[in-house]
Amino acid sequence: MTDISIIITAHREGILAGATIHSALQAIAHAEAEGASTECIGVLDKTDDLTRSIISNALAGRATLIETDHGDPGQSRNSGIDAASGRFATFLDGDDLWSENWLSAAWRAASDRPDAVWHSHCNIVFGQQRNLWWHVDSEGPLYDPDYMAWANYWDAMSFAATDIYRDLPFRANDLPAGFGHEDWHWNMQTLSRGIAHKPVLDTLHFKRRRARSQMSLVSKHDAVIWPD
Amino acid sequence: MMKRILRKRRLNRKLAKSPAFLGLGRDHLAEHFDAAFYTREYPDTAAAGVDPLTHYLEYGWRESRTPFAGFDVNEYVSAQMNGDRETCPLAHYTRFNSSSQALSGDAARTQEEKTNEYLRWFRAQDEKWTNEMLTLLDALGMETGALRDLPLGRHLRAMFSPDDYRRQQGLGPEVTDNESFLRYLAFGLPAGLAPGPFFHEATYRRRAVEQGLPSIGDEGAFLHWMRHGQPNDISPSPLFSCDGYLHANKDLEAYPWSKTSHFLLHGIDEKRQFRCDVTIHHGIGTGTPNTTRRFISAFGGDDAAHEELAAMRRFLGSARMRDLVNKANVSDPDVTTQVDLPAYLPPWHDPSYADYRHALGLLPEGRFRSVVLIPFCKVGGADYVAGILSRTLSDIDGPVLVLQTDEADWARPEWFGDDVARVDLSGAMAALDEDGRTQTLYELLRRVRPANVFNVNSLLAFKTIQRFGRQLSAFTSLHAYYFCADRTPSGDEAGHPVSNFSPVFEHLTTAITDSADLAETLGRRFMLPPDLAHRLRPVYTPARTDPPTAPLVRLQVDAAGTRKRPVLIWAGRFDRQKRFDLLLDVARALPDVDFLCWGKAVLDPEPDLNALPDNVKLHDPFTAYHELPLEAVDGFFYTSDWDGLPTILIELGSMGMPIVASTAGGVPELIDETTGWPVAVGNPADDYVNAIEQMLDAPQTRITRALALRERVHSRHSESSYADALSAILKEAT
Repeated sequence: MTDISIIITAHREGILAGATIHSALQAIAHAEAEGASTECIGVLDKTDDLTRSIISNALAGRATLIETDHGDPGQSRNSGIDAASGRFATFLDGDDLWSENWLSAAWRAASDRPDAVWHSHCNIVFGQQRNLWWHVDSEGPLYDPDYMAWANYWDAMSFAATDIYRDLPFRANDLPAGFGHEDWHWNMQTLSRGIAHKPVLDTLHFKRRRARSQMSLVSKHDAVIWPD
Repeated sequence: MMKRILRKRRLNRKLAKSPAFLGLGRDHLAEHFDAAFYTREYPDTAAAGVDPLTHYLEYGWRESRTPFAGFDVNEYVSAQMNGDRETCPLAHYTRFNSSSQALSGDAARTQEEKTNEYLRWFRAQDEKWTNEMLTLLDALGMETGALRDLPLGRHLRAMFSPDDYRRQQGLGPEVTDNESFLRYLAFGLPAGLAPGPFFHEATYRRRAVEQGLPSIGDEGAFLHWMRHGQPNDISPSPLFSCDGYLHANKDLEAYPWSKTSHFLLHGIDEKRQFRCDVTIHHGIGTGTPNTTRRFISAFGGDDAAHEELAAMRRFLGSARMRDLVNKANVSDPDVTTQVDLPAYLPPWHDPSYADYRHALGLLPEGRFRSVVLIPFCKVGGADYVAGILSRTLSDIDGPVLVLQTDEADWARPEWFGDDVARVDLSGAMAALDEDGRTQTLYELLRRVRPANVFNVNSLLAFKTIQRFGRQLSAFTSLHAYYFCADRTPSGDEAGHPVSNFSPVFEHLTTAITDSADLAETLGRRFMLPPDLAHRLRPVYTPARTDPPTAPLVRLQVDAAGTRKRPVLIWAGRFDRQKRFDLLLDVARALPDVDFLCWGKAVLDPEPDLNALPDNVKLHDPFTAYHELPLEAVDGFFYTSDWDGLPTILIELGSMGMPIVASTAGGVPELIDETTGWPVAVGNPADDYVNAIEQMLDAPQTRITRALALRERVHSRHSESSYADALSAILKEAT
């Protein structure tokens, strides 16, 4: 059985997807050097020619590419999980980057605690904003359950047993009804089932901030998390 | 001139007494004050015609104004005054740092001497504080002997956590923060108890060894810190380090004294950052606790938190992190290799969460079937309706929570009763912007998750429904009350039925009106089809007073012979809406009838009351109906141009009062040709005169119509009919 299914979700990131793949390949090489077996799945959701061309070329011969018409980040991840055969799965958004040690360190952590969802130790935000966000341990004292009702602690670039994603798929955003933030909602759902969210120490994700992202679209609609 | 001299003398006496000026008089302070500079820099003082130095000493220094060119007040206060904002910077400069020898007569002093002098002064402040505390404890009869040997200081108060102390000692919230502190000084401190979570014993023990301090003996770690650690500026908390504090506060780099004391005495209240790895932001709501204090309270004594924070601190800026960042930089050079970035640890970075959390803490425990949103409770009709709505909901459907959103007034608690929980959110919301206020209210409602939400005139609730109505209606049924629109001076309709009906109607299960007229007006205005018009529901407000057994009209008619002249009552605001001018015209046309009037101008300028007709007698507004001579009159006269269904007509109708009334708004639903004497709005005074004459001339008709009105009120405006109407609404909402 493959150890890690790497699911890269892309929309219309254009050539930025090239930098994402470059960083993913570094992390894959690092993990494979430590003995992990990997598979790579590219989910191209309502994509454009440029993004398709960049990803097919960068992942040529190394990935299964799936074209979808969801127009929704959570549904894209679900499609990636449908195609995954690994024991563990992890997501990479088409314009973000991983630190080289992400896959190997997360694999080790998840192998010890396969019942948990794992996140980077911190996110370094770059692009239109520059800052750093720590990820807390939901089993630790820094976690405040009341805050989860107000805002999200962890993004969707997590690492967990594939069965967790399979049993609890992401919910589609419903912006006309005012509901979105599928990653936040998924975190709430997993927590309510007793699944912990934990940081993998000394790992980084690099999150690109740019205008017209899915997140800014959700905020523009005053969308909030589903009440259930 | 004499005034100026007297003012200067008064000021000199004030200066001599005030510790803020370090005992210096005006003449000393004038030596370094540049009046010309001050006047140029602050033209408002010249414009006010105030002597520049007088202005500075009375106001300017507290406003951080600069007394002479090149003097950076903020930097000076931070670097030279331990952040002390209670002392005049010019006085401090004159006393400790100027090259003037007028005070000491010394030759130019070294920096070290100046430092020592300031330290002496600073310690004198601690001694003064200590003496005050000991005196207070003596006066309270508490034992102070064990304290006299300890190096007490103001940092003790800054480190003290009343909540922790009360919890440790099993004390209830009735023991105030100040009383808790005095108890701590008298009993806890002599026993070596630390004042709060800023002191972490294991950390201090380790640091004491690292710094080569004398060993900690029987006196315990905290008293050891007071004697040895604090004077050596050793932080006793893993949450605070002097290096981190200086890194986050470059203006303190030249600050030569204890950084720990600076943080405790000033930095916390000044909301300074104190860690490189965690940026802390503070809420802005009234009453929102200081986030730094909350952070210390939450994690000061928590070893697991220290460990998680330490892992972050170790990783941040480490060689490992730099290596990973450099490799990512190869993939995309936009990933900066500069890792000295603002670092956020949710939720401590989020000022709006601090405010939300404070508001959340105000909510009572328990589950609520309904939430009633009100702007405030003053003495208005809508406030009364909110009260009867809340009580009725509580009776027929279960627990009710009233959320007060806009202002703190709570004038008539009895209208709501004891069974209804209430939370005043207005203070917590006051400083937030509209987005913050609406998001907070949405999240609070999501948290409470009532089956029904009723809005009775809360503007914030209307805005929240406008923004989050889609989402709210996914888990609760939304209902809003509408009362009659107001009118602008130009005659246009204004108020919630105009501004806040169309933006929220699509999200409402029910739009409740207090009259059928308003429901029909709104339905007609927006051409609502039957299925939508069904959401518009008139619900008649119950009468609030118990009517007398005998109808008023019978008593009035029986006693009419004892009155020399007919008497009518008029009561209302002397505002445009209520048409007091029409009353005066009618009174002039009926000189043989007396008009007893109660009221005053509230919204509009008071009318000219100097040339009232002789048959009009004015009284201040009444507060209860029994203050009116209801049995000694012949009827009630009502003249408004616009209205809903006025409470006063309901109440007087319930008592059996004959009424002549304009047909404003919903009034015809109560007063028609069978229940009174209606006069169309806009008709001339003569029509009112005719109606009054008809009423006065026909005592038997008066009885018939007043009794019919009484019956109508009893059947339509009873508490049971109100409860039935609400029950129907709730049933349809489920």
